[in-house]
Parts: sequence; C-alpha cells; structure tokens
Amino acid sequence: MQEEKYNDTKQNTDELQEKSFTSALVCYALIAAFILLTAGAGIFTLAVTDRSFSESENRVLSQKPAFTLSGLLDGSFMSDFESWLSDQFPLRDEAISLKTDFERLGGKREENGVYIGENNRLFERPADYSADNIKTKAEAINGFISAYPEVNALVTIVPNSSFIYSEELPDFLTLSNQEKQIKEFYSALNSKNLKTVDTLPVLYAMKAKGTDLYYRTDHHWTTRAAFGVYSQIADIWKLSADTEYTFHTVTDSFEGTLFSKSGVHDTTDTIEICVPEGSVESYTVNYESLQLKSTTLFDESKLSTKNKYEVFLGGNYDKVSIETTAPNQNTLLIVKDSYVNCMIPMLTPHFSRIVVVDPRYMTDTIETVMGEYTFTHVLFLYNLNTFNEDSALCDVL
Amino acid sequence: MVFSSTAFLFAFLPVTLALYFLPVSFKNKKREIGKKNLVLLVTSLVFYAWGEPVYVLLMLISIFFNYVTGIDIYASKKKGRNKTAAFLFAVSVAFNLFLLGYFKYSGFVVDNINSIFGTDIVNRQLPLPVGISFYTFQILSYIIDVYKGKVKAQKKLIPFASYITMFPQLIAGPIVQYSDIEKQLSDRRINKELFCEGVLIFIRGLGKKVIFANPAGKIYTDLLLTDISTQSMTTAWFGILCYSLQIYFDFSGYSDMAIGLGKMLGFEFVRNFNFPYSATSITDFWRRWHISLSSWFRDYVYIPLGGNRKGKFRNILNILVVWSLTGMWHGASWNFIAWGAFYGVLLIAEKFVLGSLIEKIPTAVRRVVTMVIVMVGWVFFSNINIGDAFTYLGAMAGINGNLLFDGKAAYLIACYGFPTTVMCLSSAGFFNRLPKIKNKTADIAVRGIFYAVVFILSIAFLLSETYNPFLYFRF
Repeated sequence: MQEEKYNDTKQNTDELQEKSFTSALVCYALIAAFILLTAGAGIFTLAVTDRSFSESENRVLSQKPAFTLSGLLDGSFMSDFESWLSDQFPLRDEAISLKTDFERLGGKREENGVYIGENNRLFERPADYSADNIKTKAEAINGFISAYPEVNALVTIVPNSSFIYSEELPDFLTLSNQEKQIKEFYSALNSKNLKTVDTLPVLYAMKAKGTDLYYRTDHHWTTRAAFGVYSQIADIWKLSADTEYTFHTVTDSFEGTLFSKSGVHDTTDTIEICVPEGSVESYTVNYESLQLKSTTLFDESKLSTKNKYEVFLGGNYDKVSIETTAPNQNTLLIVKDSYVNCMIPMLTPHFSRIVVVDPRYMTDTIETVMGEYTFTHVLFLYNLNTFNEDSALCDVL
Repeated sequence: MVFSSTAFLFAFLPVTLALYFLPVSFKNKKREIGKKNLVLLVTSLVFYAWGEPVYVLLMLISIFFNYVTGIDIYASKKKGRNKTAAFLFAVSVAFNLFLLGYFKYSGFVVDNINSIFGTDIVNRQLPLPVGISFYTFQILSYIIDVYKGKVKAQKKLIPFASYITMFPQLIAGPIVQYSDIEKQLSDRRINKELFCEGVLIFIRGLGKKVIFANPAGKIYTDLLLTDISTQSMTTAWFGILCYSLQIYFDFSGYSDMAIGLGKMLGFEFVRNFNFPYSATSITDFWRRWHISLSSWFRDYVYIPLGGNRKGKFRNILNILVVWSLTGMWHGASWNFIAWGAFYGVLLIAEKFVLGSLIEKIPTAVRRVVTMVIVMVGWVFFSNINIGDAFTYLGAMAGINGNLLFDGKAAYLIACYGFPTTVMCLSSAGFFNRLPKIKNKTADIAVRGIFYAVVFILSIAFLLSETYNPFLYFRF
C-alpha cells in the first residue's frame, strides 16, 4: 500500500480500451444490433405462444407467470419470470447445442455427469464404490438366502458400459475396476444354496464378435447382452426348453437417458426385443399396485414416448407377477433393477410363475412376498452402478 | 437481479434504456439529466427489489438517513459548529457500520463467542442483503468526504439516491467514491460513441463471466467433491489455477459489465482491474486487483490511521489492520481474515525487507512467483474451513506422497487445457498486446464479428445453465 504510486489508477488504459468509433454509421449499426438482439428477443418471447413441452429436456416448460402482489413480495414472481424467459427463449435448444459443441471443440469430453466417448458412445459416470456398503449388502443377502435353504439362489451383477467399452472412454480417463468390485462382492457371499454368475467372459466374447452390448445413448444393456447372460443362467440352473429365441427390432430412434442428460445428440439407438419363438404358452402379467392385468410383457405404447426402454415390462414397478402356461413346477422370484426387464421374456418358458420385485419401489418386505408364494428359484440381478448406489435392497431383505 | 441473466438482458435492460433515453431536451440539459436521474433511481430500485423485495426498504432507510445527516454535517460545519458536526458524523458512521455489522458479521461474532466461551447465544443472523458491502462503503465515502470538507453535501434527494442505488455498480462494484461522480450526477456526457463503447465493454464482461468464469469454476467445484488429499500435485495445481481464473473473470467481468452499462448511461466509473495476473510483485498485484476497494481502504482507513507518516512500527501496524479488514470485507469468516493477513504480511515483507532486492530478479521470474503466491492465497479464499485449505495446500505440495502427475491430471488437461490456456493468456493481457489491425474497415469487421460471436455464445452459455433434463426414467 503505497499511496504515492496510486495516481495512475483513474485513467482508462489497456484493460478497458474500446474506443475509435469515428464513424457514426458503425455506431448506429452497433446500437441497432444490440437493441434488436436484446429488446427483440424479449419482445419475441413475449409475443409468441409459449411452448408447453420440451422434447429434448423431456419436461414441461415454464409458462408466462401471472402477476400477483403476493408473488411480487415473496419473490416467486421474479423467479417464475426468469424461468419463463429462459425456458421460452427463441432457439433455446439450438443455443444449448451450440454451447455443448463449442466446449467439445475446446476438448471437453463430459457434460452434466456424462462422458462423451469414441464412436458416439456416451457413458454414465460410475457411482462411488464403498467396500463397507458392499459388505452390508452381501450380509443382507446371505442372511436372507440362508433362511430359505431349499431355494436355488443366483446373484448376477452386470458391469456397465464404461467398463466393457473402457477403450472408447475419453482419452486418459480411467474409471474404477468393476471386475474387481464385482469379485469382491461375490467373495463376500457365502450361503451354500447361492451361486454367482461371472458375466465378463461371455460379455467379452460377444463383444469380440461385434455384438453391441450397451446402448450408446442410454445406460442400459442391450437385449443381446441380456441374452448372453440369460444363457449363462440357464446353464447354471440347467433350464432346458426346446425353444428358439428370435430378435425383432422395435425401434431405431431410441434416444436414451445419457442423450437427454448430456444434451449430446450425435446418434440414436436401436431397441430389439427377444421372444421365445413358436412357444404355445401364454401368460398373464399382473401389475398388483396398479390393479392392472395384461397379456403381454411388452408395452408397445412406450415406443412412441421418450423413454422407449420402458417397452420392456412397461417400466419399473414394485411387484409384477407373471403366470405362464409353462409345463413345469418351477417358480422364480426376481429381485432387480431395470436391467432384467429385457430378459424376463427369455425366462418365461422355464417357470410357471415369475414374480418380479424392485426394492426401490417396494413398501412390503421380500419376506412377505416369500410368504405369499413358494419359490424354487431366486435371482438377484443388478447392474453395478445401480447396485453401488442402491439403498433400498437392505431395507426389504 | 444479476447482469448475467435473461431477465436482465432481455427485459430489464431494454426497458430501462428506452425510459432513460425518453427525456430529451435540447434547451435545458440540466432538466434532462434530472429526469434521467429519476429514471435511473426508479429502475435501480426495481433492479434491487427484483432479488431483494424486502431489503430494498432497508436500503431506502439508509439512503434517507444519510441524505439528511450529510446535509446536517455540512450545515453544522459551515456554521462553525464543529462539535455538532463531529457528533453527527460519529452517529452516521456508527449507524452505517452497525447495519453492515449486523447483517454481515453478527452471526460470525456470535458463533465465535459461543465457541470460545462455551455460551449458547442463539444465532439470529438474517440473510445478507445483496450489495450491502458495496453500498455501505459508497455511503461512507460520501459521509467522510462531506465531514472532511472534500465535497459539498448533496442537497437533492434524487441524485443522492441514484448515486447509492445506481444499478450498474449496486451489487458488485466497482465501489464508486462520491467525489469521483459528484459532477456527473448533475452534468454528464451522454452520446452514441460512449454508448457503443459501453455496449462492447458490457459484452466483453458478460463473456468473461459466462464463457470463462462459470465453466472454470465448475472444474474447481467438481474437483472439491473428490478427496483432494489423494489427487496428484498437477491436478491440485490445475484446480486452483481454474479457481484463480474463475475469480478473476467473474469479478473483472462483473466490473466490465458495470463500467459498460455506466458508459451507456453516460457515467465514467474508475477502472477496477488492470491485468492483475501480470503483476510483478504482490504490491503490484494489489495495484491491479479490485482497485476501487484498495483505493477505498487506502483513502478511508490507511491514510487516516497515519499511513506511513508515523514511523515504521505504526506503518506495519496500519498495513496489518487494513489488510485484515480487507480480508474481512470479503466475508464473515476466518479464512477471509487469514487471506487478508497473508497479504498484509507479504506487503510488509516486500516493503521493508525485500525492497530493492525484488527489482534485481528478472521480470518473468517475478511474475511466476507472484502468481504462485496469489494462487496460494486463493486456496485460503476458496476454502471456508482453514483446515481444508491446508489439506489442499498439502496436495499441491505433495506431502501425502501425492503423485506429480496421473491419469486424472492428463484427462483434465486434455479436456480443459486449451480453454484454460486461452484464459491464462487473456488474463495476462496477451491478446491486448497483439498488433492492431491497421485497415480501419477490416478492424471494424473483425471486432464486430468478435463481439457478435461473444454475445451469442454468452447467451448460449447462459441458457445452458438452465438446461434441466427431466430423467424420470433414470432407473
């Protein structure tokens, strides 16, 4: 702090230099452009009819707020006004893409928690892994399965796209070793009647043959990948059925969660369904909490919505019970996240009843479900990210 | 309201400008300015009330009180009643400091009393009124200058109120001293050249804030979510570099926007930043960083305390007091005081110990050393908890055996190395030293395109901040 050296601070020098407007024409052009952009955009937004829904953000947009005195005093009018103007701003979606593209040009390879990889592949940022958390879950499952020594239990934790396709991650990005995490979890499971499925060899073999195992714009695995793991499960449980499975493409314009989350719109995905062919059995699907019965495991109406993955089972519900006409006494309980949804049709020929529970939506415990029916088989199927994040499983076991 | 919002850019600003340029009088310039001041006052109150619908009353009370006492102090002095003037002055300073202290520091004081004495006083801290640190200092500059006889009291309420509330500098500075703007309140140059200059400076400031500062800040905050003690040294340094860029572009961007808006309305504010990251010493840094604040502390605290005129010991003490207060001004928390004291000590060292020694070091080395010190300072500034600041410094120094470099650092540099390099060059004034385009038409075209791109990108970045995809199908 030397007062004598301060005398230069009040001159406008370098940092603020923006003079030389000698031409009146340039001046007026600049003023006109500035007013046109600011006032113009404001008036335009006010004049045109509000959009009600944004496809790309998949949400209802804010509408012109009504002026009220109470809204003014508590400030809600002001915040409503701001979100209205931002939501309805002309070329909003284009502006957001412009920003994303501009930053990618500068080298940025992630957007809103989504990594932008090679070949237009988007990756979900993996959930934090905690050894304690995994141990708690293993103990809960051990305890639960030990209480039902007569059931055949199987635990399947599926790795995520960011591990299987790690070579397509942005340069230099290294993420956690999911193989190690899954092995650690499996080794903590010790009930005698419980087996685990090591999905990696099968997934890698399929990948080597060029099968797409995960969607590029969504965090789910593909039906093909699910089929590979289904075959492993069928081997372990010695499920045999003389069934041929066929794949049908139901849409090629799937834009998944990672697409929406990141705002990166480079590609779309194809969804296939896999159905046991020529099988004569039919089934009833009972959505108990909805008090709704259906005769199909697919909800085709979802194909015309944003979330096309919900074509499988219509989405996630606390409890869905499926009665089939499969000619055997086997019954299956599935404790799961959404990864299993595309696999359920493959399992129907082997079980006369399948009950699917999703702990994230359950209010009952699984014990209650076990009391309602008798099960010969129990399958736990999760993807590792959801499994690491999950906090509902231990509550229901 | 903040400048970097759609409500400001596309609603408030066009309406305000339209109203402001409505009163035109070729015969009576004074009257025209008077009307413009009224428009400025009303729009500024709307601007403030937009974010603080209740605290606008607090500001109005403060304005009215200081308006009356300012006149009283001036009148008393004129009549030779120095004791009355001194009393009124003391009351007024106390009132202003009380308001600032109550809203900004009472929670901090109560928390400290509770923790030191084990008491259990209830912390009734109210939310901080936006801009109170800035407008209180502006009011104080007026009251002190009136008392000292440096300026006349402002007899008209509207110009006085528009000085305090003036929306361009109301909530984030620069801190405009009354003496600098007194004349402009009654007579100022408003013309298209100045307006154009203002528009460009405003756009530049907007770009600094939304294209540079916000993304740079995001890199740092994302990094703080991880366990910093396990990060590599490069990652830690890169993180604090990003924070340094954020805080500079945020603050200087806001100052540019204020200065630009001021020019559009015919006001000339003091420059607030002068490429602080090109400073060659800490003393030099503080001549370039937030100039309006350090000038304020110099004029109203350091010099009145005796400055360097009362011997070495008093000078050192004065510097320490001023810098602890400067630190505290930035926030009611120990880390800001530590940050201020850190600079106090460094400035004393430069002034009394290093002195002419510094001059012998090559400029490039001095720049680097200064920047490293400034970055260390920002570690304290950005971590409210001083323990966290030391953890961060530990990672920078590699005391936990942190690697020098790792995959995370490589990834960060691959993603953000290019934009941060551009920001570094920009903050050091590199682009201003590029050769000027000689051809006038080409120059106008290049600058026109540049500012158009910056403005459009700024809007894109601004809208992106509200990108909010709904993922009901998250599972």
